[in-house]
Amino acid sequence: MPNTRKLVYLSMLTTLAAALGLLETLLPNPFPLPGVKLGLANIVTLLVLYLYGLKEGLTVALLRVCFVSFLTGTFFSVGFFLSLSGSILSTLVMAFCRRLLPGLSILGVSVIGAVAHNMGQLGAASFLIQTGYIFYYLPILLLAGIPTGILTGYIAGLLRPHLEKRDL
Amino acid sequence: MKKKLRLTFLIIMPFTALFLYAGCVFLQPREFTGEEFLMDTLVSISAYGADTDLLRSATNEAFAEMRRIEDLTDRFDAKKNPADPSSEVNRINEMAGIAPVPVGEDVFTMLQAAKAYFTLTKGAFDVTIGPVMDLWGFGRESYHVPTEEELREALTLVDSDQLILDREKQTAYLAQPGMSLDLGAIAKGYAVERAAAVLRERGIERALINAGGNIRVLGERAQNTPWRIGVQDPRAPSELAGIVELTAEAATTSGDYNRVFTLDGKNYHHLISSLTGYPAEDNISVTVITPDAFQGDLLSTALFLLDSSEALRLAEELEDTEVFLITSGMNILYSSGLKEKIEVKTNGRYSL
Amino acid sequence: MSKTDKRLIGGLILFGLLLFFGRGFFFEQPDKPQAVVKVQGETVLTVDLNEGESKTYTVQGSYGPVLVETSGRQVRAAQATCPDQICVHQGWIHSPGQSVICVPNEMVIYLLDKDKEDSDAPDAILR
Repeated sequence: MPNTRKLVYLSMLTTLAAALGLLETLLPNPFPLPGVKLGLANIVTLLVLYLYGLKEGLTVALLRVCFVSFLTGTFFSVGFFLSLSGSILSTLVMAFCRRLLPGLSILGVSVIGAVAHNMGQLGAASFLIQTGYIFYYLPILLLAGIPTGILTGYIAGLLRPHLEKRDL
Repeated sequence: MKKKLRLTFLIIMPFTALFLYAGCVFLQPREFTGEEFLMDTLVSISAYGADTDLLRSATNEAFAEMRRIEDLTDRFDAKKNPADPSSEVNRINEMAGIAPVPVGEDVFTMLQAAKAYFTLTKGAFDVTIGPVMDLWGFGRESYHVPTEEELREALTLVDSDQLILDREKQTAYLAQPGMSLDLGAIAKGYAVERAAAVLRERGIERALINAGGNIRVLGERAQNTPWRIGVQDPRAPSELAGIVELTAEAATTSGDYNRVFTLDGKNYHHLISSLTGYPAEDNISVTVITPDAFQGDLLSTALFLLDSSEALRLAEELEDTEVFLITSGMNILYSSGLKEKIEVKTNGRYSL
Repeated sequence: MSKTDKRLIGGLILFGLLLFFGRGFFFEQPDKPQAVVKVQGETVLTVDLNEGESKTYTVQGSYGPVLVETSGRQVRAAQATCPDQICVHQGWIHSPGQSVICVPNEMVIYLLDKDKEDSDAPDAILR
């Protein structure tokens, strides 16, 4: 029953992503900007993307965002929409770049995902807050995504061979 | 071996990142700043801490305390009636040569300290300077230069030895009719110190009180970082003549550029020596650093009235006291204890 | 880290830096330099300061009218009816943290300029 196995593993990974996401919300944001975060949950999204594929990656990302917002009581709040658009954009871009640029390792995919996450949040923020001023922070968010992307990508790269051995 | 290293890295890295991240947040406490026009200047109080409501209420209480001191010591009340009944200083002046006046702890403390500085400066600093200040028109903003004759007469009424304080009955008495107190040189410093005390009583550990020439800080600017306080260039209001570092101290400046009027091309400022009756001319800016803002206000005025070298010598002699002064010869002098704590800017005007 | 990774990261950093230094050109700046005038604690005037632009405004203080003048990123009280004229004598202020104070008018002019803010600036100034 390979499907049950997959279901169990995906559920566990979703839970892990939610736990990491929750951990991050416990830390207040040191910047007055939406989007600059460590993005620990991205480690899981990245792994799911590599181990299964885009469909599974998107599912896990979506469920994770919803879980975290349920648990923190921010469902349908501004923050929820910011996370949602950031995660969706990031997952899509990561899957796309992985296919398009075969030379890219998991680290590079992670960096581009982190940057895309920040851009997605910023886009949603400018839409919700209705101000163009916010794009003034675009370069900062772009640059901030690079180290966090390297961090999450590195961790995902270390975990990936262990998980692949388990024949998910 | 390599694998172990990697694993250690894997575990340590996210935690380090998390702690750094959390650190950024907790090192940025909240700030509350209030501003009010008080005692002829703009007073601003900035308090730092975790609880904004506490910061706000403590700041408001500190302002209320300063207003209370202002009411006790005001000699002229430009906006209200000339003789404010709540001013104990006015009452002492009205009863000069008639009877001792019972006063509160605050005014008594101020007068006692003023008398001590009268002795310390050998009479240059005198809180009974009222008649001379009136003659020059300071406080009423109707300035004129008095004649020698007028001054000589007024100076006979200036003598802190004839200010009689009775500790037991807590009364103050000016022995001669016509004598009057002017607490302009010390009331603001006292009020600032009281405000600092109120903040401390309310549990505020980090704050900055800025009353123009009187600045009092509580605690440090940040961990292991002192507050940096600029000293205005006495000849260019938009520039600084120096920056001093403060930690839980007060810095007070007396300058010839505040409360000054010009007549026939000559400037007359309000820091009047009670020995001559004329504005003191040896210094143009005197800044003292003391543990206490009240003491600082007394000292900055007292040192301004002395010769520069005498002022420097006295500051070196007094414990926990530093001085930064600019002489009328455009020389910058400072006491030895300031060496590590000061950044001097000569602005092409001053020499060291 | 593969070659493509390095190229990608390098490219992103370059692009980010380019945008960062050119951001004034590409995007609208949220914290424009401004002069703020308060009377009795209430903000009565806010002026955006632009290089090479001069403007004058009349503000009603507690004592009388005050003529506030801006020139580029500087501001001053050009004329006032107060007896001591301390605010007028103070002249132009040019860096954040400085202020023009008029006690009779209960007026303060502040300068807000994020670009010019530096960590070396003192926390307060003894006047």
